[in-house]
Amino acid sequence: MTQLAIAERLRATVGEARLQSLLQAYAESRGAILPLAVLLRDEGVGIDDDVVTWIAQTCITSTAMVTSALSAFPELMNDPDSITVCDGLSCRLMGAGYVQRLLRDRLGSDRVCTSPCQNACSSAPIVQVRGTLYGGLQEASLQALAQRLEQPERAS
Amino acid sequence: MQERRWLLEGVERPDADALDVYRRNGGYDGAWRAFDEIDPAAVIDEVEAAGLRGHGGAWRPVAARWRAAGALGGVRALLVDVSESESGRFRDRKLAERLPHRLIEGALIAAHALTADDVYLCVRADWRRARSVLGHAMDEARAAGWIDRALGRSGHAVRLHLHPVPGPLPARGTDQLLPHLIECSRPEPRASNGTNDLPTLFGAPVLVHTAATLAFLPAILARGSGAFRELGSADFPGTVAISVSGHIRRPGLFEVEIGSGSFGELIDTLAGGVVDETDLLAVFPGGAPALDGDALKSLQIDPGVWSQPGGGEHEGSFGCGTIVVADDAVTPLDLAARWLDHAAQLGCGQCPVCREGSVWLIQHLQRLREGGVTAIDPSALQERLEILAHGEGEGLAICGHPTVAAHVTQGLLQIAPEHVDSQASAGATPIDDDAPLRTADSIHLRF
Ligand code: FES
Repeated sequence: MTQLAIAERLRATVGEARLQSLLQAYAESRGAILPLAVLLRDEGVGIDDDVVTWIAQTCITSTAMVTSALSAFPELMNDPDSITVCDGLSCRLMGAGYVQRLLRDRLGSDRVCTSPCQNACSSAPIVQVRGTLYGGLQEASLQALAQRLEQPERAS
Repeated sequence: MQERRWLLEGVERPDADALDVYRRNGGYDGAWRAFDEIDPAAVIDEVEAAGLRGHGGAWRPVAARWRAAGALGGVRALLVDVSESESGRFRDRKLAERLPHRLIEGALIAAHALTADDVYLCVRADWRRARSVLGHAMDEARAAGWIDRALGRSGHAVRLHLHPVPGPLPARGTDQLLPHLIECSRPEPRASNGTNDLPTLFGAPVLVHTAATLAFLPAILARGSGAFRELGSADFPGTVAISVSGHIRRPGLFEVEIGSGSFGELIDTLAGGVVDETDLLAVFPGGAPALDGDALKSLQIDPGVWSQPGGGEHEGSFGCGTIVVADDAVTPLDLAARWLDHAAQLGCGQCPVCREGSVWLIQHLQRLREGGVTAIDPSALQERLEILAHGEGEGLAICGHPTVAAHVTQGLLQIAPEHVDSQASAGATPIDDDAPLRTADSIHLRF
């Protein structure tokens, strides 16, 4: 696909009205770097070099600036289908280590990643899949979740 | 001890996040009063009379901050921290997901008092539900004419923007951090220039508030400052929402009157007690040294007690009162190692004292865990912890993040120093990978 075609596809994904309102929300358009990346990610677009270039052009800044901004946010660069196990203190105390081990054994290490505290600690241990939070996991609910995640198309 | 809901009033109502439900229960009455019936100066007077303080951890008087901002020429925008920079806290996430209109209304009132035209709600990007609920609530408020449109007799229009931020952020310094984050999206606090100057966003002065602080404003404006003043202590009026998690029978978010009791009472009554009725350890991610169960019993839920010179009953920062509890299946040493590891991950990496000091300490705690006290130099460990603890005060660190990390670690290591060797040989504990799942009896205000 040409750069122009990629740009048109991304612009259509964001939508002209949303794009303009995002750009106008900031005194300098580089404020829209992260909002645009998150919006695209929400729409299921993986953040690759083409996307970085488009965001840089749209926000009138350099690709280095966009890359630097996104590097502070590793979750954004992860596979959108990855399964995130909270590894914060409360989740650890309630068995996050066990959850990580079980999901890695069942689903493979490359599909499972960890995060710091997700700030839903009352429901520890926590797993997040495509933005959906699974909390208060017990042996049965964890096994059921693992079983559902073994069929990725029905995971969420 | 009982719950007194002000911030979380209505949180369990069905469809509490919907505009019509919020309106039916008095929602936006406070904003209407602020925008239509009184002027911005009177809003500040009302908030001053209420004695509201910031609930982000520093407990600064809100009205005084607003007056100081006015004296410096005012602010262009208000930045709202909806990112829970304290790990173990789940108050602002709950507010965003269950009571988004209270948050929006509070932000509107504050923006009006400050005569600011823009509000940025800075929400953790990975809280997709919170972003979506807030986004929907903003659409509802916009359609109903509460935002982006001249409101009441004041004719003041406030624009609201949702800005996703990475997270979690370092535990301190969000005043400087959030504007920087919007400008270039890197979570690096900036050094204060040593004056009282306001932080700036693209060159324009701004003010930063924590979400929960602003969510108190609607009821203060609607019910009057007197009702708020009736609760809490003279210097710290009102209520505080405490996040309790860990090895507790009923973890959750509990809103109680400030000064109405101790953390021990809160844990034993509202939170149902410790799971195995054993001794407990308490970690305060806000920056206070960790404690054992006995010390916790008398520790008051009142930031005023904590902030006295010398610490009063307990030296350290109350923070937001967030508490993580562990029973004695976990050793203080184990918890300290885990905590420091966690704190190091959240550091931005700009200051050597924090970046390199944390790694050095993690390595030494690991050696201590594996080989007992003879494997390390205890005085060097204490010395490094002291350096970390005073990093900001002595100009070695831009923000207070290393101080928080050090205080919690120091507290854990001081709980049973004579037993460090036996802790080191305790083997696997519930915090390790091999530990089984544990389950609370119930969850108060479940996510
Ligand atoms: S520790 Fe997992 S949500 Fe806080």
